[in-house]
Amino acid sequence: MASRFWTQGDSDTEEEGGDYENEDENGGVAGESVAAAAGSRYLQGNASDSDDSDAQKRVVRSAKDKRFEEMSATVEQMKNAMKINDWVSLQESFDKMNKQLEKVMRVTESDKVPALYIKALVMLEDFLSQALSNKDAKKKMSSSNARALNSMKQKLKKNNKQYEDLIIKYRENPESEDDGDEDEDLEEDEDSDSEFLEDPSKIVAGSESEEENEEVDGDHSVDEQGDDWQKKMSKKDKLMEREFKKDPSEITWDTVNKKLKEIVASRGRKGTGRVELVEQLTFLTRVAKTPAQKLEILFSVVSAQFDINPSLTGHMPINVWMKCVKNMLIILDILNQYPNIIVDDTVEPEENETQKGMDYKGTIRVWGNLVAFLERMDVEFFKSLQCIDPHTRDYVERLRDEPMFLVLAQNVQDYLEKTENMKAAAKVALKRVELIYYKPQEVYDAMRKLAEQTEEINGGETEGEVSKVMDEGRGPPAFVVTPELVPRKPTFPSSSRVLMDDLVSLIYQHGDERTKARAMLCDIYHHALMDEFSTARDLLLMSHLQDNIQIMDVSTQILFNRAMAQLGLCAFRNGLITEGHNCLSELYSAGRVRELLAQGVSHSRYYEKTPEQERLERRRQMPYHMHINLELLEAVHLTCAMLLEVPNMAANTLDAKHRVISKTFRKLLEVSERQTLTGPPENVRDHVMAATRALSQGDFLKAFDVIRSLQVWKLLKNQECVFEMLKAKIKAEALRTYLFTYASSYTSLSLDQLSKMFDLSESQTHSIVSKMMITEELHASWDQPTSCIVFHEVEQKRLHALAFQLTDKLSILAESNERAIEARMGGGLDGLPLRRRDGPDYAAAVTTGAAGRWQDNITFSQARQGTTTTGRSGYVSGARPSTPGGYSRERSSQKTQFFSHHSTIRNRIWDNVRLKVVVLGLAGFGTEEFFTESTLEMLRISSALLSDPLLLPLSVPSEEHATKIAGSLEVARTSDAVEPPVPEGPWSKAAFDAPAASVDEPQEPEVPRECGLSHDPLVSKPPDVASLSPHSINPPAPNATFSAHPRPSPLTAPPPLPISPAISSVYFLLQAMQKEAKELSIQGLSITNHDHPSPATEPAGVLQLESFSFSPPINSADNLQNFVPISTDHTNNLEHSTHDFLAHSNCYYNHNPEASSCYDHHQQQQQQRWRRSENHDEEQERLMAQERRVRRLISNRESARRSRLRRRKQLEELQAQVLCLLADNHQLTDALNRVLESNYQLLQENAHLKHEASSFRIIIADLIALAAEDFPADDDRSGQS
Amino acid sequence: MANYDLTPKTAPNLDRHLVFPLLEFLQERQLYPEEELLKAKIELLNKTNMVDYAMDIHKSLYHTDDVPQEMVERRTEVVARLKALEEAAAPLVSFLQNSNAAQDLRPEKQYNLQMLNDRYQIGPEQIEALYQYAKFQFECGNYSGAADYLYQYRALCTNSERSLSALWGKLAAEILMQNWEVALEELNRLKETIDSKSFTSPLNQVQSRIWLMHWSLFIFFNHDNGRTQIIDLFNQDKYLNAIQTNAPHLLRYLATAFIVNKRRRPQFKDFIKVIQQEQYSYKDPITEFLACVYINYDFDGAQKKMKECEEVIVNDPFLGKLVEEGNYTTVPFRDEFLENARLFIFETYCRIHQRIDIGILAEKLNLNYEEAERWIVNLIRTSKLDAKIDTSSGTVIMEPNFPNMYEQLIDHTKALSGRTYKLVSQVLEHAQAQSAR
Repeated sequence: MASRFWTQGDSDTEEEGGDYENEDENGGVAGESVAAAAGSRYLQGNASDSDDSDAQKRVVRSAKDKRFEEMSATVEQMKNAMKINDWVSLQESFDKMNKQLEKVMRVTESDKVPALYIKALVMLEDFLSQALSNKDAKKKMSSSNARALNSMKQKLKKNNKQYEDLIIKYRENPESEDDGDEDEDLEEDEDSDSEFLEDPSKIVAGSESEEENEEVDGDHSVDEQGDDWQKKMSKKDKLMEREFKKDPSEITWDTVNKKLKEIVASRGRKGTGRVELVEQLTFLTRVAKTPAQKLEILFSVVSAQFDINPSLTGHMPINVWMKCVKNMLIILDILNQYPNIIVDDTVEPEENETQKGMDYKGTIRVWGNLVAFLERMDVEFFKSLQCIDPHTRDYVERLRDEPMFLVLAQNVQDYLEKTENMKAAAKVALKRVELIYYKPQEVYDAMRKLAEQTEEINGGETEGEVSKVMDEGRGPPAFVVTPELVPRKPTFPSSSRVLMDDLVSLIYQHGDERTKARAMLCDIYHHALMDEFSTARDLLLMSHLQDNIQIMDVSTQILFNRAMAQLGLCAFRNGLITEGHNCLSELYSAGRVRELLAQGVSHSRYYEKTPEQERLERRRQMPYHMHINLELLEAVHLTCAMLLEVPNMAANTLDAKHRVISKTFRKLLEVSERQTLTGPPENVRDHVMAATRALSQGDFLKAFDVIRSLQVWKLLKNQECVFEMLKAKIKAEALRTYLFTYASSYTSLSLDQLSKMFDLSESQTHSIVSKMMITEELHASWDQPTSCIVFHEVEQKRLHALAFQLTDKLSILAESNERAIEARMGGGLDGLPLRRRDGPDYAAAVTTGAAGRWQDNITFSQARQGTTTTGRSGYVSGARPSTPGGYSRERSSQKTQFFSHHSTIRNRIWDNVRLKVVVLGLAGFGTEEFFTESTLEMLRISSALLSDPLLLPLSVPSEEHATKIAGSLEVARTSDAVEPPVPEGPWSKAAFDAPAASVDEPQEPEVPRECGLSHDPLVSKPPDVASLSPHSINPPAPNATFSAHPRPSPLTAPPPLPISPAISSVYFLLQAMQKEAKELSIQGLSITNHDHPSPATEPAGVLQLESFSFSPPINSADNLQNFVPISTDHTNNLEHSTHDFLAHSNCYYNHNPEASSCYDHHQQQQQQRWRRSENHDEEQERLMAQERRVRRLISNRESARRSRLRRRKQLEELQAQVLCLLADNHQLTDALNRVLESNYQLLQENAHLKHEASSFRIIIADLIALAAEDFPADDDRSGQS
Repeated sequence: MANYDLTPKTAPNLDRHLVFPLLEFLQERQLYPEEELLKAKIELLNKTNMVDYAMDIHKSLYHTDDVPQEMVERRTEVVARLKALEEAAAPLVSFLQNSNAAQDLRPEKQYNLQMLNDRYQIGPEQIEALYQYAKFQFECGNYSGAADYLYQYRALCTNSERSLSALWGKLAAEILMQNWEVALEELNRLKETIDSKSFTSPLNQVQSRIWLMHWSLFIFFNHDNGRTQIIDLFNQDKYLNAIQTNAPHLLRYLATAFIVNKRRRPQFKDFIKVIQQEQYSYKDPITEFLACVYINYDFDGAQKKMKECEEVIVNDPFLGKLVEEGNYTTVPFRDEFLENARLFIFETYCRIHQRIDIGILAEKLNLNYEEAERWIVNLIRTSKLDAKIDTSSGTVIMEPNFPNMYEQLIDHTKALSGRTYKLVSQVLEHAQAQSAR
């Protein structure tokens, strides 16, 4: 507004500048108004420069007159326009005046229209009527002018209606009213100053650059009149001063007050020397009549002093700053002396408040804000430190002023606490904290000493003091003498911690959020500085500052970064490497440490900063003495990273990407490794990289030396301790790295050797290695008597790694399947995640046989083999008679549970899966192929589940497979199911008790019985199996069906395998047998086979055939052997590993096809032998046996070859299946993707349509509303209805 | 041995009356000079109403029959106040003692108040008086009376703050009467109140939790099932946080409970982390023992600590409870602790060894050779340990127990089948539902 006014005023003055002084007696007034306008312009500029509080203050002083001045200026313009009969400009002026009127009314808060305005109205009316009456002149007018006249006529008519009364009144007695009004207005102005608080913001809105332009524009015009005015003004001043000097006794409160107003009003005006202003005001302080007045003047002095430096980037001149401090101290003196004076910036004090003398007992309110002043002082101090070159003496000199500020702050805080303004006190306390928090105890002590010294030695010699003396010497003695009540010397507690604690606790109690957060950060910083890591960390964690620091202001964020950096350093000093690294890694992750800590500007290559950003950034830089040494920080960070990363890299050499602790470090390492030539280390990075190279080879001495040679460590307080810590850490990490790297080359390492190698004590070494063992980083264990580390070779083979990868992928696939289904069925799987969590139960149930527990697997697989030995259980039990029945029952119950779970076959595919898993689990046990196989199976199945139609084609092959398996399982069961008599029957007790030999006899009849049940044509049926067995309740029924349908289709099959306890007992026996067999070699087994030839040739053959074609063991053996040949054929070492794993898992060579078939035959032969032993002569037997043996050998080989061929074929088939399934799966996923995509498109379209529909609905609603408006009656009716 | 005594730390968190048992214990153990303890007792009693007791102690302390004047004055004052309170509370007390009348009380509070007011002219003043009376009774040492009155007061009280206070009083009274079962109930009730969201300020809540934990020590170390419950209570996040912020010395009791209790192993690992984290703020032999075994793997250190632990336990008022068996007294807790601690050491030791000399093991376990062998045999027999003893060389040989590749793989995959199964059934159900439609 003002600027517009100015430009206009400008044009006016330029047009008619010459007329001013000659023509009108009011020219001076006009000039003044222009000057005032100029002043207000300055005001704007300054307001945007400085603190709000100052702006408010200045505005308060001048703006109240401003409106009036503006208005009167407008009136002048109107007068001028009248003179030249310029209706166009008159009209403009009139409009403007009306606008100004609004403002004035708002400012004065009165309903009363200012007399000035009325006067103008009357004047205009008269002129208008005159113009209208003069018809000739009207005719002569230009068209535009005439038009303006007409519109003016109407406007005025309309406007004047509002003020009719006033105009009439005015016409009655024009002059008296005018004066009175003006006085009133003036008073009102002052009363309502607080109203102006709103205005500054409006004024501030004008930007600086604009101001400058205007300044240029306005300069010449202002100079003409402004200079004149200024001269008058300064002359007047001197006059006044002289007046004061002459007779000090005549000076009254009023004169001082008036003078003060005058000076304050001139403040900020063009041409007013800022320094002069301050001097004038200081002079006034001496002549002030009452303490309150003195206080008031002092406040203006201080704020005027703040004005001396106009620019935002520069700082306040140091001597001014000092004077400012002095003034502040005097203010405090007064305040302390007269506790009834209250400083407040919320309520505007009454005009004559300060008139009340020092005897006045009631409260006197003075406008002012101590905290704002103090904060401004702090800002200026900070800025000056930012600007001064830190390497000069000036900087040090400047730093010496710090105690002065601290004293001031302390006093202000004391005062505020006394007046119980705790919030403000907390703010001041924060300022103090911010000056102290970064000082280590030594620096703090130095400051304390300095503070004590300067006060003693320099006493009155400081600049401020000098100037003050001079001032006082020049001027008359002050009316109001203020004794120095407030201590001028700082009192610091001996420990900075104590001071911090005091201040911080005050802040925590009373501060607002930001103050508290900042204080907390300072506190953390200081604790970290004092090496109290745990306290600092706890503070940080409890305050939850990390969580919400993002939303805080930039300077607090910088403070947070600083605190984190310091915390990291502290952790490092305390030997907490991981913590230190965690604190620092974030700072270094983006490579902008400087920026983050506000210790310099980093220039990015890709991103240009605007000048504004740069300026902002420069403004938040930390002064040099507060810097955290970046080199030290980097050294600490990299050292921490090295200590963590080197062993980590050594541990995970295979998959480098596996787990990266410090990306920054890795990157640096890569860079340094890429160098062709590595020279001697120069900077921190080079040093750490050199140390890393040494450390990764286990050369701890070199690593330590390189790190130690860094110069920055000198900055550490307790360098030696840190070195010691560092050495210990490096040793430990070297040891770990060494073990990781070279463990595979040793089978054992002695503790002694190790500890010597790394210069560690044995107990340390022991502790480190033990920790590695416990965390399973190192697969080794101690051999205590020899104090050696024995390494276990459990390294992962490539196949294992691949298998793990596959399982990972599988789980991803399963997840994506779930997601796909969820997407399709719309969250129909709510229960699934839950299920998944308690899945183990379920899964355990599904895979009890294959996967659930180790023991189960063993028994299961043994059972498969064991079924061939049905007849021989007596022998076995004889060998190991201690079969705990309870044990087997337990197992069996588990199994029955498992299978009953499947009793309802809902999904044939799932049965396939299950069976497959079970069978594969059994068969492939101990072979690596099993896993790839089974997982492939899983893969296929899971892909099969993607959609319904796919299930069929997929399930077909596996169905066949499963049919076979199921059949085999059933048969196995049939032959197993008859087993119960073995442990439980009446005779079995005898079998358990009797020695092996004697058991042979009674057992024989049992065997045929079992065979009979399983359709063995050779033997007769048993009398009653069920009656023999106490467990027969469940087995018999299914038995019967199975014996009737030896190969039922799994589709119609009843629950496969409700296994009777007998099975498990057989398992157990077999287990025992195998244990026995462990002692013998396979060789031995086959030898016994040859040594004890079975007498019966033919039945044996039959049995054998039968078992091949029919009985499960062979089938299972098939499965068993499915995969083994691959291992034997293709990779020798695979077999080796198989061997290893077999050994580990208590499984035997039986899996070896040759061996197992031999074993089978051996068992069968034994059966035969027992069967025939009674009836045949031994001699004959031996002969025949020889013959038979030869035959069997041949047939064995043949059958082995056959089975091998078959297996290979089967495998090929399966592989082909897998391939085509994979392809199918791929296609399906594609299809699914496509569907999803189109679905998405549809959804989008739908949304779009919905949107349109809703917009249409709105339109319709509008239309209806319109219609309703048109026909309100309708609306009513509808409302009623 | 006074340096491990926690009484100075626990006492500020206890009620005056609850400190007495601790002081008694200390007196028994003679950790501090008797005089100091007696003085402390008088100090304690000064603010309570047990003036007679204070007088007795004064007499025995100074070996005189003279009693300071202020004690005598206090006595008369107490008696007078007792009378006044008794009168004030008389109507309600008599009502409550009248069993016929008391039957009219119903579960609804409002009804009761109304009824009392209507029929017996018992208003809020009398109810308030009952509280005061109960408090006074408590101060006098009449805990059972106080407990009864407080119980009834709680049934009638409408002021939640007062009710909470009454709850604390009731708990203290029950503890002092050693009614552990009832005390446990009260404790749980109090815990619910404290944990309820309506609690005033977080700071207050933390303080209350700390008090609760301190008070609960009496119960947990005397109640049969206390050792499990102490873990359940202390190891809750909220309570653990409270311990970590303001009462780290309570870690001793939690640590002990963890060592003694075998059933809470899953939480044990996390607790070790807490111990590691809090090492700077609190340590005593018991936590150091755990640190030795589980953080530093320093078994010699652990053994030393174990010896120190023994002393700590014996001298701790809560842990070192004496039980008389026949002619000699034992500290059952100590034996249990040592046995378990030994097991802890051995377990960890075995995990990282494949062959251990029994002699050295015996040394580490503070046992002789024979005992050690028997102990190990027992462990093997109860299948706590997968090992064998080789007598010829006098060593224990561990059976290596590595996670099998296949086992791992199966572990990885077995959840998959379940999930897939679920998936299929979902698909099928969906399909059926659609076809049905």
